[in-house]
Amino acid sequence: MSNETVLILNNVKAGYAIKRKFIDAVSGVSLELFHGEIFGLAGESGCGKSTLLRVIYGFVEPPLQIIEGSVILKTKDEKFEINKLGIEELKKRVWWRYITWILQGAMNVLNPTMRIQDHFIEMMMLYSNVDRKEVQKFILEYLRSLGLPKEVANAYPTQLSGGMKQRIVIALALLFNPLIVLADEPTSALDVVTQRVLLEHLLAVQKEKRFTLVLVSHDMDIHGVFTDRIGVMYAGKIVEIAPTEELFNEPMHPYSKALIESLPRVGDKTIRKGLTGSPPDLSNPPPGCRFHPRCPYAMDICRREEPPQTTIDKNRYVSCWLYTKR
Amino acid sequence: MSNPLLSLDNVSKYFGYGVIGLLRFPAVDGVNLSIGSEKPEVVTIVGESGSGKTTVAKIMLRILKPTHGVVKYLGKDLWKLKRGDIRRFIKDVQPIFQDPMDTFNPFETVDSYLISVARSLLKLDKDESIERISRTLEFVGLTFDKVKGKRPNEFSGGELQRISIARALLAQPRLLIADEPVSMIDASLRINILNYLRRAKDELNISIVYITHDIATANYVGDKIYVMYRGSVVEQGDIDKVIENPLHPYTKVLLESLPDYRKGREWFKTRLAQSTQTVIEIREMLLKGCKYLSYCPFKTEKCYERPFMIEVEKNHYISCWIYHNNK
Amino acid sequence: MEEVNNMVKYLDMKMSIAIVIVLILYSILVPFTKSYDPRTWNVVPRDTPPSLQYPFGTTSTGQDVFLLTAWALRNTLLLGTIASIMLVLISFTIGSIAGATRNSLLRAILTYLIDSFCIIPFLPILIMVASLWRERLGIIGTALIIAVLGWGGQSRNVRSVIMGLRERTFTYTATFSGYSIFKTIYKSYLPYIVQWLSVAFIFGIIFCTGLETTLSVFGITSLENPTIGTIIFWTREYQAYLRGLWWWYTFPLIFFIILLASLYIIVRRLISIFIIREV
Repeated sequence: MSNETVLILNNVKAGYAIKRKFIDAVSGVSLELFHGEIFGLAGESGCGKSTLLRVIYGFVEPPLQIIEGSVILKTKDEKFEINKLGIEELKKRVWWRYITWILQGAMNVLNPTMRIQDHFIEMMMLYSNVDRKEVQKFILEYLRSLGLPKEVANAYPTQLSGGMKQRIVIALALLFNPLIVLADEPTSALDVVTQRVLLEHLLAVQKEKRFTLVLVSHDMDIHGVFTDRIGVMYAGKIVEIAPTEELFNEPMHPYSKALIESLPRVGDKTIRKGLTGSPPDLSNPPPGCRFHPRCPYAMDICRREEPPQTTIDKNRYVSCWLYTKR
Repeated sequence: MSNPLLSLDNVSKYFGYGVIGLLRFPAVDGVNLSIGSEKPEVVTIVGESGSGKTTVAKIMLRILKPTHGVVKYLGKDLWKLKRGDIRRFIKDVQPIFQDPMDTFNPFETVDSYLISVARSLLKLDKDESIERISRTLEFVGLTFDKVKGKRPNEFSGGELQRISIARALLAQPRLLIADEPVSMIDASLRINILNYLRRAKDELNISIVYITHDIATANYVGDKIYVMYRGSVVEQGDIDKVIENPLHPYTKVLLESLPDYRKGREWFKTRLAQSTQTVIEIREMLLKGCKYLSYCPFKTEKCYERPFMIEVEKNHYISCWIYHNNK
Repeated sequence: MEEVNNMVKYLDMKMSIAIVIVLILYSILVPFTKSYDPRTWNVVPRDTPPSLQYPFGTTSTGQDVFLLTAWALRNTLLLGTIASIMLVLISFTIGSIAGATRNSLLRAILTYLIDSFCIIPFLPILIMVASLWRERLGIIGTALIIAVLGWGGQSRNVRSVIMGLRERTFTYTATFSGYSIFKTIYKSYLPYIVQWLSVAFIFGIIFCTGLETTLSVFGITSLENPTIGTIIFWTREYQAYLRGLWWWYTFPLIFFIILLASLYIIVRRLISIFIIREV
């Protein structure tokens, strides 16, 4: 994993304007992504991780709007300010080439009336002027190189299992060798055994092609086995960023701690404690630190002021008054 | 030896499919299960989607009638009960469902269900009802004032599930049937719900049938486990024994596929003992032989005949020909 | 700003309801002003264009279009409403029994019945019946025939709604909370049923009105009773289009279209309100 930065988010604020309320889903997020790493975005439902993915991708349409901040993509030759580019521009120059987005439930995106290889051929023909027969040869070779059995190319999506469809979607996403792949809960609809097979496959492909993978999941165990670094999100804010092993060995933010400690472990029946309360309403979040109503360590300052992002170590950041000097 | 609280004797449930619904496949196929009445226990049923575990739950709750076999409550066939016994059954066996948002009718207040339990099932008068409801709500960390007069859409999923548990406990049941009670709850709140279930068994002496696809949560609350695959039970017994020493190829694969953050990347190094398939066929569901045939790396000629359950060690049973030979 | 938002909310539905009310008032009040039977001809000078005395002009049959339109609206609405009520009653009864029964034989028979009536080509049968019994069919008769032939589609709908309700988790919760069947129906299902009934009723009016109009345009119902359909029939008989008597067909048609469009908007809005409320 090299230290080249491929994506920088600088104090990005984004949310949804619905009726007369503003849902503050991404509230001042600063982040850096490096070439070839697997970055996990962890958090529970409603914390804003899917919105953050959309903002990174640049698919920002009403009611979603970016209020502040910048999203900068750095390729080898160019720099793109994603939040400033319109959707047409992004379609032409950035999407599929440099960034791809595998959304939740992506396997339903496959057209049931088209054979699998036709999906790929169509994709390729959109971006290149090569002869169709050439493209077909290329596609078959491409599928083979990803370890997909040859029956699959000729099959229709409805004939395939969920796991296989997901692998096809991933293959589509990697067609043009992108720099960054954003995957939103790629295994949530799969059973546990298929999930394992898919993760194995995804890891192998990532190691070979060396793209940056951003994995969004609410399942901490997946983060624990799969990612290099993790960003923990709560109520629209990133509360902690750390290398995976360090996060699980010594979680610093009280929310990360609670999240990890409340995971039941096979073979261990000791009683664990969870959090009380529920995540806040993002259209009317609590003042100060958004976690303070549920935090067992809440202090006076937590109720009044939002903690800044503090650098603990190289690649280790926490937003919590327990670790920040005033 | 008294009658088990609830038992399924060789129960199968067939559903129709195809154009006119004439073709049938077994969602539940020859399942034997029993929950003892001597002391409270948590029996877990673990399986993936399509394993038939939700159908088993509905059969236990007298919502679906078995096509073959008998489901008994305290030794009596559930579908041959007299009206008085049915009333007693509805009080003694209570459900907790997966989707807290659908558990209550959106047009009704949630307390109308609580009050109905207190007045109709427990036959309490107005004041006693409110008192009992308040106490039960306290058990799950809520008060009657927080709940009074509110509709389901005024609560979060986690709160509704707690109210659902309170409603079930209010009836003073002997058995709770919990069908995936935490699957739709956020991770940080799951453990609280699971703790209520543990306390229900430890403090209130209630037995629980806990159904899930997540072995980790089953392990946290359970004493016994039934591992289901495509409608049949493949392995069963004390949960500690089965998890420490899984015998059936499917159980082994299931446990190996559980991501565990403690293992980190090492997790990928263990080999999955399973052959993979790309295309799904419904024909497989009608197989006469062992259900796991298509995926099992150890299959032999004998496996085209359905194996039956045998005891391999105390309180550890398996349905697989490999172990028959070793006896 | 809040007040404006509240006013604008469902503005289309509020406007449509207002329009329908105005049309109903028109159809009730205007006939009171003239006391003669609308079926009589040659009461006023023929073929006169709109004027102060006759705001919508007169017809070739010597009738005042302003009055005629009111009567037509009234008869059309009356017939549509009666037919709709009958249709909803039949389809709801059969559909809900089919959906609720646990007896698979009964369910199979009723489903077969419902599906048969769905497939029956009711328009040809309707035309046949209507032309055979034209003289004896009044408004009630026509409504009855339409209802008896057209209930199939709505019935399928009811059947699936009821079947769906029975499998909803909250039905099981109710059972295990000691609800009797009646309490379950009354407290848990009734809101859904009322929703369905209101949508089906209004939609039924549109449907039955359309059917009746079709019949009349072909000249199969009793043609002296003014309805929108019979007006169209007579305009064709007297070749009003070729003779430039635009007021005879324009005014009734516009009113008719406005009526149907408003009812349609109301139905669509109701459906979307019900779906949102469920969530």
